[in-house]
Amino acid sequence: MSAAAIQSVQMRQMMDASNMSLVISTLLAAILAFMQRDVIDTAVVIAWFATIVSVNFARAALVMAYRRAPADDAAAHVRLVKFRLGVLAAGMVWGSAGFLLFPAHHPQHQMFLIFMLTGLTAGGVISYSADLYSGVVFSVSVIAPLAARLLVAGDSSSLAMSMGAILYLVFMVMSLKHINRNIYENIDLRLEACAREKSIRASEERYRLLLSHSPVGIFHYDTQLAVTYCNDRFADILHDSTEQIIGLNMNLLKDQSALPTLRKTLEGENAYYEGRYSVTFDDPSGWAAMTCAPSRDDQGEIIGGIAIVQDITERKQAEAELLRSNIELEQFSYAVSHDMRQPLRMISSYMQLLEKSLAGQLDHEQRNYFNFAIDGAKRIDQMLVALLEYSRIGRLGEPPAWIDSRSVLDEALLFLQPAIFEAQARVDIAGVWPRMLARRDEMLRLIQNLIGNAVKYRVAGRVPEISVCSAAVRHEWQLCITDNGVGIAPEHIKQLFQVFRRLHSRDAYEGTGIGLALCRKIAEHHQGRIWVESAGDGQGCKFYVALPVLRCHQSTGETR
Amino acid sequence: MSATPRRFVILLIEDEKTDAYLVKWAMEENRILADLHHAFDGCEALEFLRKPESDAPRPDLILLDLNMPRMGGLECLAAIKQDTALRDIPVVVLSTSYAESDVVASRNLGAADYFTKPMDIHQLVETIHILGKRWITPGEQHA
Repeated sequence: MSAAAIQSVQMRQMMDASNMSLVISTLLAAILAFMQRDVIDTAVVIAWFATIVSVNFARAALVMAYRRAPADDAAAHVRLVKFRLGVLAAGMVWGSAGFLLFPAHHPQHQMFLIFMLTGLTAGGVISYSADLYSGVVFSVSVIAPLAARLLVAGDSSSLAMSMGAILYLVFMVMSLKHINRNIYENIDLRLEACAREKSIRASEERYRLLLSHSPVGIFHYDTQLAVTYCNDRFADILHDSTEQIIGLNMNLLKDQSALPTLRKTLEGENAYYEGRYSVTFDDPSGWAAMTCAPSRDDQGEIIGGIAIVQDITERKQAEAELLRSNIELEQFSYAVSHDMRQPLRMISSYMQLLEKSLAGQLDHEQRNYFNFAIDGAKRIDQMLVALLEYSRIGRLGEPPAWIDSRSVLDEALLFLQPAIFEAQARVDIAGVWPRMLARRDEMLRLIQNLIGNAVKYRVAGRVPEISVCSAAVRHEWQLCITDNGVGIAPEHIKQLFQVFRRLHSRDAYEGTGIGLALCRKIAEHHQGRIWVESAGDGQGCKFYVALPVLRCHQSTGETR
Repeated sequence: MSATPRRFVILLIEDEKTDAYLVKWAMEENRILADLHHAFDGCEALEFLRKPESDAPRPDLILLDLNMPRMGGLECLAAIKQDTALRDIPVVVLSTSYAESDVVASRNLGAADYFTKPMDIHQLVETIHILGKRWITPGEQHA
């Protein structure tokens, strides 16, 4: 504890005792003056008494000022100094009595004076024991002049009394020191306890605020499953007030579905419950998720439990909505795949039949017209199929599983073997191929599309050189596919991953233009990213994929 | 007197006339000589199949489309496979759909094979050729 704080308490203690001691001091002064009036010059007695009364009044004023406005730590020091000066003044006036009111020839009155002054010193030492300086100053200033006066008297009994007074003074000061240290330590301990209590109260307040403003419902219960505490959010979830809920015996609830979970905690287990709930008094029901744990006393005995409750109604509704929307989308996709392709097939097939039956009568140009129309129908069909595939990424197909990335690469290369052979392409494989948690069919599609593109978009007359490099960096799988193909002009890079966006004519490179859009969607459905770098036309390019698929507990955007 | 060998009988269940025509044409292109009967949906097909042999010949093969009005292909397939008198007739699905769910459902219901109708007539001829080789006894039906 700071010295200033302790001083402040010392000051207060002394001030509290001051009024009484001032009154007693004044009364003692009056008795002393009265008793010595016959043996000492009356004027001296009156003057002395007036002085002591004045000093006491001044000190009383100081005490009143303090009472009116208790000072802070800094101002307390100034007041303490003033207080000590007051004590010094009082001590000196009392001390002067040792000379002024000392009747040289009246041993009885001398004894009375000595009795009064030593008694007063004893009282003063007790009163000022909170402050060592005040105590010492008072006792020395009262006793020292008396001892000196007795010394001056010169006779052997006075000399002995003088020595006695000095010894008494020494004893007083030592006792004072001892008492003062005790008081100091007491105050220190008390202040420390106060501070600790304050800090505990602040911490409890923080905890209370945390609980009451928590976005999740929290409640405590005892071994009889009666609620002993709940926060506002929990009351909100139950559409009720905390006052109604606290004390509620959950065994009497209408909806008992969560009770087995709560009972588990009373057997020492942590438990989780998710399900519908009906509220206690009102009746709309929703979905709740509850995590609960036993709570124990100092001896480790279970005294109840604590439960954290989340209202997951909105999440459940969103999941149901998503499911409904997925079913609808699938029905739509199916309709597209069947109902729209059917007439297209008719157009294409019957145009072909027509061309076949007119074979002999058509010139070159007319045959071209037929082919354009047939190709058009076929292309729409390919685009429909591509769109369907695009819409199915992350929605249908295999669920995420731990797969071996190298075996996926090998399968992709097997599919691409004819194209690689035809292009006489060289494919280098490097790096670490980790196991990962991903959808196998989508990973296969991703790798196949990227390597397929590297083979397809080659520069005529240049042997395609393709490097496929894999790395595992913390929880991320990184794939880089480099080629020496046609490259991409910087201004086209942004459009590259859009649906049906083509950078080359269909005559130069066939395809629907959905391959890279599929790759982007696959990467995004694995919470990853895909990007490309190229120095420009004819400069080849580098495709990068980074997917966080190496961690155990992760979501892969499963929406089915 | 030796009996004239009975011609191979196919029941084509297909709601689209144009598609039925293309299948017939592709069979002719493949010189598959068979009696081709045509039903426009599942109901009509079951009616045909349940007629006495004198009124409607029992097919040796059923070619089944999936998406049809009234009674669709999968429902019709289920009905055929539940009927002890009909369940031995091989049913081959010939559909526009390439959806995995349709392929799996057809197989689970007992379809003998599954073909997707191609966009190109040359590929259609090829498809029917494979179908013929797999399901129509060679020599007897091929000219």
